[in-house]
Amino acid sequence: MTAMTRAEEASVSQNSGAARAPGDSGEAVLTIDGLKTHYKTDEGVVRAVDGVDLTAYRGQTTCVVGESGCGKSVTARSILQLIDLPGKIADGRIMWQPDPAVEAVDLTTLDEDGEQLRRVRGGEIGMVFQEPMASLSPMYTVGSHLVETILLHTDLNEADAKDRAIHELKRVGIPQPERRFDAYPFQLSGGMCQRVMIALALSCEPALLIADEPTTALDVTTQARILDLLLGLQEETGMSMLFITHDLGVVAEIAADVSVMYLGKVVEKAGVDELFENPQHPYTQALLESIPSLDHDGQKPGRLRAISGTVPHPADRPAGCSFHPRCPHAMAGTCDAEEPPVIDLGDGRIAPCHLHDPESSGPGRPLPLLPVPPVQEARATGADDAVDVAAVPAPDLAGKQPMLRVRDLSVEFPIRKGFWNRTVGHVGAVSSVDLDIYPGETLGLVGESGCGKTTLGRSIVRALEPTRGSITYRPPGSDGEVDLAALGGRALRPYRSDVRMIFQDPFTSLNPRKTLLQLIGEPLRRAGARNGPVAGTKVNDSTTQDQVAEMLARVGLRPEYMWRYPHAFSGGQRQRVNIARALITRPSVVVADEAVSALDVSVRAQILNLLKDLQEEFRLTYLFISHDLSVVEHVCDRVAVMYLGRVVERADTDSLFEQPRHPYSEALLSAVPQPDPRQRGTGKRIRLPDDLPDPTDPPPGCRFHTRCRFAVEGLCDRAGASPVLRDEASHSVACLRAEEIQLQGRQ
Amino acid sequence: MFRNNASTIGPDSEPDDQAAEKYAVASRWRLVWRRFRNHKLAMAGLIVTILVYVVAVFGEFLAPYSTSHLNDEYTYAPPQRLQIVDTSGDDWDWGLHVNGYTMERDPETLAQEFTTDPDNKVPVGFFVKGEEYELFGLIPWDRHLIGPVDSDTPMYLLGADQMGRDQFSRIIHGTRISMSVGLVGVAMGFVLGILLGGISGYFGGRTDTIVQRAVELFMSLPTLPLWLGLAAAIPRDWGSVERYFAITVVLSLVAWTGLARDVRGRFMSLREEDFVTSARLDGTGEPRIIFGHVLPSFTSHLIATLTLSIPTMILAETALSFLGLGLQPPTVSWGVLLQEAQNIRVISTAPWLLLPGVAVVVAILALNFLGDGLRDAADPYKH
Repeated sequence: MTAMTRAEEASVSQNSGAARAPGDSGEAVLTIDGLKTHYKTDEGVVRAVDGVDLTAYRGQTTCVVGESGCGKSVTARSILQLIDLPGKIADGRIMWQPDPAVEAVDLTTLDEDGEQLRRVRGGEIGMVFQEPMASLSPMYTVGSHLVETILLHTDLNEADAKDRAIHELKRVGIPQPERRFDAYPFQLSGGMCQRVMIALALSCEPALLIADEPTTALDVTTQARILDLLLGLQEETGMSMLFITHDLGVVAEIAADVSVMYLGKVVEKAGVDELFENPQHPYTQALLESIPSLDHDGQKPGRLRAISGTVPHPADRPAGCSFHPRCPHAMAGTCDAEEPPVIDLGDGRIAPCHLHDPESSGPGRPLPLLPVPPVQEARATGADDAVDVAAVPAPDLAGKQPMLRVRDLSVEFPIRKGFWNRTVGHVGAVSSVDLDIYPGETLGLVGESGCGKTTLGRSIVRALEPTRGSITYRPPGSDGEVDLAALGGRALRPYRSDVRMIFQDPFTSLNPRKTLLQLIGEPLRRAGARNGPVAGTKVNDSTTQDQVAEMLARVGLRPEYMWRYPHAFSGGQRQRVNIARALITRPSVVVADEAVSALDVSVRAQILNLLKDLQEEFRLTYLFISHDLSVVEHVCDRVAVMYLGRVVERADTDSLFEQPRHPYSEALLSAVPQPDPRQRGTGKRIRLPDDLPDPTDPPPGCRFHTRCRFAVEGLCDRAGASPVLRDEASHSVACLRAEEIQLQGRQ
Repeated sequence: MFRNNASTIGPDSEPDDQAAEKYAVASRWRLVWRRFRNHKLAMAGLIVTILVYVVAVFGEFLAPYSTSHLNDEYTYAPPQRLQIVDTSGDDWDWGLHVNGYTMERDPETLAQEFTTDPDNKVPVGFFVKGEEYELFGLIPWDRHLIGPVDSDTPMYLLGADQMGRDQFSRIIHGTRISMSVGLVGVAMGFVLGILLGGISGYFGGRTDTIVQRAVELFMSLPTLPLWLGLAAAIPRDWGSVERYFAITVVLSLVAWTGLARDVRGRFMSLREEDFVTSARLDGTGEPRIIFGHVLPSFTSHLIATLTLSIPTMILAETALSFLGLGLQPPTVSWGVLLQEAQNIRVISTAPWLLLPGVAVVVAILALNFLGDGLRDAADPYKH
């Protein structure tokens, strides 16, 4: 299996003339040697990159992977000397050799504004950034961006440059390139803009393309197509690629070589198969273990293995091995004192770790390392004996009354125009959604950005005013029902503490000017906490303090932190604060809106485990909104798929992932990159066209028919005959051709 | 840069060092002060501003003479240099003193000419007895920080004006009026701006439209003609300071527009912030959201704006008084003092009459540096 994919890969890179056998070090096009990039700030020198050795091979894709703050982007920017002030390359060499016949140049010695470096930038090395919208100037058309670059780096005249530009646009798969040539960046979607960026980077046939998280800001379906495009272009031109990402699934999809970075250093370097099969550094191992894997054999694991703590700020780099405070294998006296030696493990693999050093770990230490033991997470209530959730029987829904019943819910935003702000139309962010949430379950809500999942979540907690429809809430232990959509103002207040929300961004959702006590205690000031004990009305009240302290302990923070301000906490800890704040009122339903999307892989696993434990402890019902299907599969009992404001499919998680019945669900599933390089190229890929239709004017009939591969003219696009979600026990789908088509599930 | 010291190690095992703990519980104002302290120019601005206001408060004590003290023999007397040691004789003669003048009248031009006379030593001392005054308008006293030991001999450290009044004393006395007379106007404009901008931004919709059209209307009013008209309209029998005060108050009714727009914009963006939404979801009432969450988020910006609007007010006073529209003698302010320097011939004979201009420049630069520093430090949570 492995050999086969390798062989395929070799054939891919054949035209570069540098096909190499696995493990062979190949021919380097870019060699970074001991690079150190430092930032001199008021608080001291921040060593963002601290001795990185990295090699990009000719015609190959080299991935740099790591969590945020590990210096990946700074490394990439250092290559072209694009570091922001006050950053400066302090030491190291960057040897650049686009042509094997010509001697390599050290890019660090070139003048930052000099002719030579300008020729390298754009001409020999192209770069693609994370935010495609922000990287293109809104004042210029797509075409003028391209023509400018081409004129700068070639001898073409203006007319030829335009032809070349159109050719480039066509090459990156932009439909109607002649027309798009005159479009402005803001008229294109994010995926289109990223294609333009790629066209721009490739317009001068660079020998190396540096892609810095090029797909992170994009939807999973768009990401899949951009990755396909990059691979196709590499095959076509034989360029080398340095691909920076935090997503191990993407790595498995495209990399040949992988360098794992941690705190400004490369901690492991290996071929992609070796890395995933047999990681040699504890950090790599932990990182791989903390992915909620889509790939499982029968049972899905109840708890993820999280890495304790978070990535420290580069200014507070621990002494010795920088990973030792979080490492489950750390040896006192060695790991916290000495830098680990760089030992070649054969096949060009490097994993600087004391465990591989016979001197410090004793001879005969078996390799590979032992699997990482599960981390004891910081939970004062000591729920580490948490029951494996998979073993808990799934809630039996048949005989149960839903706790929250959403019927025909629509949320429309008016579009205002002109001097008088007249309403000229509506965007139907959510249109006629039906949804049941049963007590004790976790319902997942997935879909691309712009499909209305966040709007739906926000209108359920009534942060938004629904235009039509009802949200019937049945408080636990009572037979009474209440329509939350009809309530407003004061009447809604008692229910505000029953239905709570966890926000996505841990940085903007906490008021930085309040202490944790004030933040978490604020909901208690209201008399609305119906389920909890009666709280004092003043924040300084000792009952409030006790409750906040208890809640902090529950979410794994120390009670004395209640006097601190949010600025003292990292993203993961702030998300714990957010959770504490949501749960302090003892709610019965919690809407988690992309609650883990802004977090790093290792921290994400901690938070997911915490959410799971708290669900058991407080008998919570979750509406879990996420764009990340692997997370959804891990945590959810049932899943609803949304597309353009409608729910198109609703099913039990397993049944949806194994046998989706809506073509859109199928496409979403197939676009998720699998963190397993052996699965590369297996299964049929379904790629959706990039553009979501205009939500102000949704297509008639089935809203998905413009992108659907099964759409039939005259059936799917008939106005007035849009498919409805047929209510079936466990699996309902809104597709006109659901009976006829055969769809593939996850492999 | 953002440092999450406290979070580097697992939440359970960390030995908190003191600095991290202090940082973690530091409130916003302490963080602002931390950043502000690192801004050297702003610190200098702060110190100078404080000094200027100290001068304004203790003016009578610091100045050797009162505003009305005059000696017409000494018209346009040049500045005297303060000396510690007298070497004119055979010995070194220690003691603080200035040299007195010998006066001659030029026989052709009849102009009075002063030359310093090293033999005529006027001893100078600290905390000397002089004219009586009332400190803060309450405490009668007769001591002056510096002055001639014999209160009848004249001393002109910064020269004299046409009437032989001491320029140094008058600049000190002018500080009070110049630094304070517009403050009420600024404060009123400030309150109006926050109130109307806040209403406009928070409620949005039709309210917003109305307030914004009003802002545009007020912005189109020309200030200088308005000023001229008001100066003419105010009753004649009011004192000079009262008249000026009335004008600034009326003008503040026009001057709130810029701030109102700023506040509106901030309200609009903050209304959409997650932490405001989450406060609303906590069941927090509207007044508490406005005063507990939204307003505190930009108070530090408002303070910076306020600091930066004081120089405008000082300049307006100076400019208008210089033109004869603002304050009038016998009131002493920097602008009034500069009125005397309108004539090029006067300036060529007595260039020290321009010194109040230096005071204006120093005060305004200091306030601007201070305001800039505050603005930079105002948001300590920016990454």
